[in-house]
Amino acid sequence: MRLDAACISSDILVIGAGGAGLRAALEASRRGARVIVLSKGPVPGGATSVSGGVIQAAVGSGDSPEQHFRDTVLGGRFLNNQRLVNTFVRNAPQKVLDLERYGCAFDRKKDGSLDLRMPSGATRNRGIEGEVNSNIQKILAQRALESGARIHEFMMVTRLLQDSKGAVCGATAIDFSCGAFLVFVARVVILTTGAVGRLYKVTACPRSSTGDGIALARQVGARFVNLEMMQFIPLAYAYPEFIKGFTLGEAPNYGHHTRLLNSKGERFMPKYDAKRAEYSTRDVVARANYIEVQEGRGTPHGGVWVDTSQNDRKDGLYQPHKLADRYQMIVDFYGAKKANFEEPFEATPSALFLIGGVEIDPSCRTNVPGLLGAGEVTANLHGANRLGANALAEIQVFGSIAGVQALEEIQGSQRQVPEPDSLRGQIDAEKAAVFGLLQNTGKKRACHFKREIQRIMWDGVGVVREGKNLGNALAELRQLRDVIRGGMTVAKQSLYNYDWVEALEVPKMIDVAEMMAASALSRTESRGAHYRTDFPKEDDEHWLRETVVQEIGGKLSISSQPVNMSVVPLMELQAV
Amino acid sequence: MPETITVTIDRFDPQVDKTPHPATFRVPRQDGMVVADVLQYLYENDTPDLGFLWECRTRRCGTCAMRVNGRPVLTCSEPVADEMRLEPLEGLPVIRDLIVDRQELQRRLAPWAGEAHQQGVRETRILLQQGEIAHYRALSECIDCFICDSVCPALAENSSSASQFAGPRRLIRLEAQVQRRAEPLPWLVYAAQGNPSLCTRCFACTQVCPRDLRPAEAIGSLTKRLYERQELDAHKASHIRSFIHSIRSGAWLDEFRLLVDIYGVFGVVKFVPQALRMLVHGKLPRPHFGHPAQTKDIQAVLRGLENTRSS
Repeated sequence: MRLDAACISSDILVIGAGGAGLRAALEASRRGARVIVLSKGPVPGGATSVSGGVIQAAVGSGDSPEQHFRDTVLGGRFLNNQRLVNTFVRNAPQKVLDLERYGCAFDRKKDGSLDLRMPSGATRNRGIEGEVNSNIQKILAQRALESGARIHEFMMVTRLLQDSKGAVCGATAIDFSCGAFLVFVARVVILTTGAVGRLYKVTACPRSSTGDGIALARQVGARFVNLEMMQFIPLAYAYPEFIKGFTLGEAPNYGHHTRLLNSKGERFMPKYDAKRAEYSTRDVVARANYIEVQEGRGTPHGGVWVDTSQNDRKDGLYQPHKLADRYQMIVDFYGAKKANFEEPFEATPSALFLIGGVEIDPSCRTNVPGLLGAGEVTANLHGANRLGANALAEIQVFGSIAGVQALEEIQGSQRQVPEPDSLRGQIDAEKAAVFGLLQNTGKKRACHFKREIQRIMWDGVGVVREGKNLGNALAELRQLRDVIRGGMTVAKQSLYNYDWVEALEVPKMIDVAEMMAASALSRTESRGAHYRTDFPKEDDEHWLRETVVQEIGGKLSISSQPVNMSVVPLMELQAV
Repeated sequence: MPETITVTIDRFDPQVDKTPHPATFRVPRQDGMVVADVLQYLYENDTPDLGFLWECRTRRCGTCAMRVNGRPVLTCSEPVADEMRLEPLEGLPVIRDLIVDRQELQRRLAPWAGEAHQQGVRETRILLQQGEIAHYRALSECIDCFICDSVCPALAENSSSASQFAGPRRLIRLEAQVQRRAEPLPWLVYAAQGNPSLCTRCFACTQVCPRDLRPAEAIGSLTKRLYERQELDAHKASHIRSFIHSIRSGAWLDEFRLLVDIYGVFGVVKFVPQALRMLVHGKLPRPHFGHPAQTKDIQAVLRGLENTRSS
């Protein structure tokens, strides 16, 4: 081989080492496949590592997959892809309980049955809890390693490689722990890169969640669905800066009598939802909090007051004996009085979860041959609003399906690991571009462009949207792309050079942000997480449809398609 | 409160520097600031090539551990001080600036994977009962921040010697595996190779753990399991036997008898030169005859204890 880059070959390449990626790697490697997993951050890391501790699956008595289906689709305002939901609810109990066999320890009662709780939006006790999710991730990684998978940390994937027929057959990456350029070739690639929260100024997501996978898939012509559906969590830390946006959950987490107050001490939620007030859905509460702050009634740190004083201290989730580390965080950052419900504390809405993403079928196949997807990077399980605890089950179900499907693709097709020489053009061009960044041609650093993107997205494509602002955001993003094409200032350093990593991330973030803004502009209604002041009503007549974005011939094509409602007809759901 | 924070950071780039050199910066103070805020501020506004890691912001990834004014902590949740010195964790190879070698994932997370004795191990695990769950979690929630390893004197002492000590971080992980696997033997064998009996029981690891786990206790439990299954070598096993016997019979540790029990009467002879050297340097305690409970000092302590109890 005469390639000027180390080339590593495997049967299956998994990009992303959160719950979905590791589960896929585990399922494939224990069936004998050679699997390589690339993680941009450390393991544990990514959105899985910081997620809440509850996983939803219909395992309790009096519960059923059918009931789980109904809750999910009602919560999603009928916009969910029902074929995916159906696969999801039927597989969730088994795939989630597998985790116990792998080494997790969920809460159980004295009689040995699971100790379940009711996640918000559910109608049955269905939330399995007890394990810190970084721990689930760690256990999955251990099991995958034991079955022979290889997992590499600090790998920034820069592009997907395609063979002459257009099938995805590998990726190029920077091992930024040492600054080496690497080529990975494989027979199938699974995309599990997860969240995009870092596109926003205030987010619950960790450092790695910049939406790389969506940008990677865009380059190879993948179809994206419902990218406007970005979910915001109503309550998150308002300070200190470093953890600003990290989730504080929602009203029910603190008990049955949580009240939200603005800077004037007014209880404002009844104005937005007369019936349920603070206990309304996530999207409504997040929106109300955002509007209160926007209209000048925010707290000193730009949030609202959460008054928990009327709650029973033994009732909520954020208690010493429940989520020990979450409770301790409130003590550390806000003080013991606030943690113990003696004083109100500040909270801000925060970017949490992208419901839209790469379009997949129930076998995790995308429209691009050779490319599978699972987890948050994919669409559209959750419709217009994701129920709490459904995402952690999603990554187990679809991660596992993707791993098995990848094996089938290998066995069913004649596809071989490509000859690296045949990919030479793509590899050389990418290598030149990646190292070209270090030539320091621009005036500004990537982290400053990043702040710029985060501001544009928060203001323009955030909690509350409007046609005019969406258009402006789109224009600003495209302008920024042109500026960045002129280069950036990048530190020269080969060991853990985050300045370089961010310079690689920023163009990808713009690619993702652009598609999100364009999708949001095209959906001329409000539904769940997507709220537009110029179209404030749900429009079932025109918009029980998925928005579709795809890059074709260098241009974005924006269209829509009917939502898959093949399982339970709308009429029947609306009658519930 | 001063409006700025003065922070001194040990900078080190192995490609340029032979030894670390301190650099001092001033950073504007903000509400509730944590140490990671300071580092991120410097990275964005002053020092683009400052080497430090963070990922989760919430004490779950373990990457942001370092020494702040000498104390090993997670910087994501450590409040700032007016003046701070930031150094990488002690006792670990420094990669660059504040980044230490956290090892390859496999070595860090599942060093047993691929080992010969692991072949054919079935994946069955014990389903835990209600009472055991909390205990298991206290073992399994280690986040690999390496803080415990960085303060462990036994690890520092034995890192280069023939009998290598696995250290608290790896041993707490192995104890978790042992507790959960239906066939724990391979993990016990693996633990035995890590020489848990070299632990000096100083409890430094338990004291510094940012997640309040108890590695020292886990090591104790591993040693006990190994003793009970007779997996320890003859010296270590007889050490434990003698220890237990001594405590049981007189409620105190007769160190001379310990030596005789482990090495035999003739074996003790080889320690004579060492004993003489210690005597010369004043390191040998005065010979003591009779039961310790009879001495005046100890009786005073016992009386004090009695008084406290009755009042």
